[in-house]
Amino acid sequence: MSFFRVEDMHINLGEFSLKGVSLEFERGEYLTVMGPTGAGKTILLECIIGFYHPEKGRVFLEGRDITDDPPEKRRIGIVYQDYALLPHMDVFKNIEYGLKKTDSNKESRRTKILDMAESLNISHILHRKPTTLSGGEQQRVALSRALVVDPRLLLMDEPLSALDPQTRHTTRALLRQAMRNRDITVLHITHDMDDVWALADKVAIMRDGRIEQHNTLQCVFNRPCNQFIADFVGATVFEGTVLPSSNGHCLIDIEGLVLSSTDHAQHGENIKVALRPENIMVFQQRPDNHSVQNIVEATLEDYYKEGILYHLFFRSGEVRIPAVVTSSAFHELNLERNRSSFLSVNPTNVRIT
Amino acid sequence: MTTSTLRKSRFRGVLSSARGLSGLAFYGWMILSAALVLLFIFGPLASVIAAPTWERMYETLIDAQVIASIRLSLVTAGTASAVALILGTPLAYLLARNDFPGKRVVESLIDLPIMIPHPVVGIALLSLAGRNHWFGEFIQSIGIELMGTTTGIICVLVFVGMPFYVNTAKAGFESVSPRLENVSRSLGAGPGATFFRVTLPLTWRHVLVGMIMCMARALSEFGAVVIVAYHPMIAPVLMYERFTAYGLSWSQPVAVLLILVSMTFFLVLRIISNPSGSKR
Repeated sequence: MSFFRVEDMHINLGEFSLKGVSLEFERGEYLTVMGPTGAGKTILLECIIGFYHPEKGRVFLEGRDITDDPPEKRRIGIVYQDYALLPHMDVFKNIEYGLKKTDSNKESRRTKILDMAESLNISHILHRKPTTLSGGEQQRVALSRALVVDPRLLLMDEPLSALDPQTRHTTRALLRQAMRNRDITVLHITHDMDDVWALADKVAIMRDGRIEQHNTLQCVFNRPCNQFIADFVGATVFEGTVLPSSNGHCLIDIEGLVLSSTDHAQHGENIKVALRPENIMVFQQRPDNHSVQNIVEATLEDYYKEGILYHLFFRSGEVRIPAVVTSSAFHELNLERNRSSFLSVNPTNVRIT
Repeated sequence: MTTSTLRKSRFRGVLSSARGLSGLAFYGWMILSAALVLLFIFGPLASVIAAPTWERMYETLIDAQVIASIRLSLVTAGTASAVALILGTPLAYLLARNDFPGKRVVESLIDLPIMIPHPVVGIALLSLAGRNHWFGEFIQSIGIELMGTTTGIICVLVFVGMPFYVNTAKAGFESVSPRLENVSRSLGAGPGATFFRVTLPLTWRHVLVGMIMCMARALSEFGAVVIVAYHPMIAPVLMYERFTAYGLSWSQPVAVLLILVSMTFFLVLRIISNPSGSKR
């Protein structure tokens, strides 16, 4: 029995709805939920914590059905994007708010708060009112307030997205450290890939009130099960047919482009293959090294620059292949539109989804 | 920004952009209309206040009947706004936090006392609480009489003042993000604790302003009160009686007194509810 489980959850609030969401994860796991605006992510959170009662479906925590428990009995913490600090209390009292219920000893509360403040670097602002704090400080206070009562599960709704990039970066690092030290189970809604890379063990991707894919970070990134998810995680999905093979590798025909893969599939089967752009190698000349496999000649159709990277779009026959190179590689390879290059991809990176 | 740069120009607003012929014409019209409205409110009040002689004012000040009526006015209006606080707060909170079919109907029902003619309010209350109605019989059997009593006056004032309290308090509750309550619940506080530790402390200004509005409305009520209780006399009824029995010059000093007492009272409450003149 898993630590936390949502079973076939339905709710319809008009604008937002959940249409049969199931999720499960283990103690200490960090799950990020991604999805476009309106996919139902926040509603899912508010159903899990009990602000809404699902029309159908159950929520289990530590093996117990908590669907009918009021929020104050669930011991699930929440951190919102807008921090939701109580404006009429100072930082200390905000953090103390939940502790008062569980710890009647004033001195021990004080110790816990000071420890928490120390670990999240807010000791110097304990006696300030929330309205006088910066976004990053407010978010650290909100996080302290949620963590200090030792919740069984922590929910975070885009906790970093209202921060400026620099603060987001440092807060994320602090968040990762705080989570690692506590062995806490987290469900974190985000739009930011960097959050996923830095924090997540598992990823769930939602669309239109449903979970499209829910798996480990590696699996979702490398084997997105459809193009919607592939777009989300920056991969490309192709449809192909499995050809008879000789060397034990699986040969896949993608509209005339034949790639070999270390994954397994039955001959004749119609399958989907995912490629990640960073796994495509680009060469000026056909590589003569025999260890290089899956060599394809392709024309550069288009490219754009983003930061220090160039996103390239090659075409080989009917197939459009995205790739990504650093700007120095781009110039070394002398890449230009409509010029031919050679691409290669390691069979281990040709993944059947 | 330092305060000194803010203080340099005390006047800030759209008028500072009044330039050119069309701008001057437009803002000229606006300023003239605004001045006219202010004069219209201030003029009659000023003339009432200026009318009585000092001698007449002094006589009024030591007139026990006048003092009693003003005290009764303040006490009944104050009680009405306290009743509105106790009974109206849950309604305001429920309306602010829930959506349900028929919410619009409930909201317009609350506004109804503002619209109906004042004597109708009195008549309606009497017809429910009179001897010809089972409810009237019932409350009289437990010793509650509305006709000609202070209880009756308070009843009327609660009726006419309630919309002002409920609407203001509701606006206050709506201004508190439900997320604050959610967070409080997630931290182990039940709905009651959340209301008293989070929601109410954040809306006390709205609640106080609502009580002020309710009390102000109650202080000014005449038409409904005069039907339910001519005696004991509240200040507006006494003024009316002095006006019909002795004429204008005898009702003016009572009016001045009532205006002064209420203005002082409301000014103090306004200052409490909105310190430092912030824009909220």
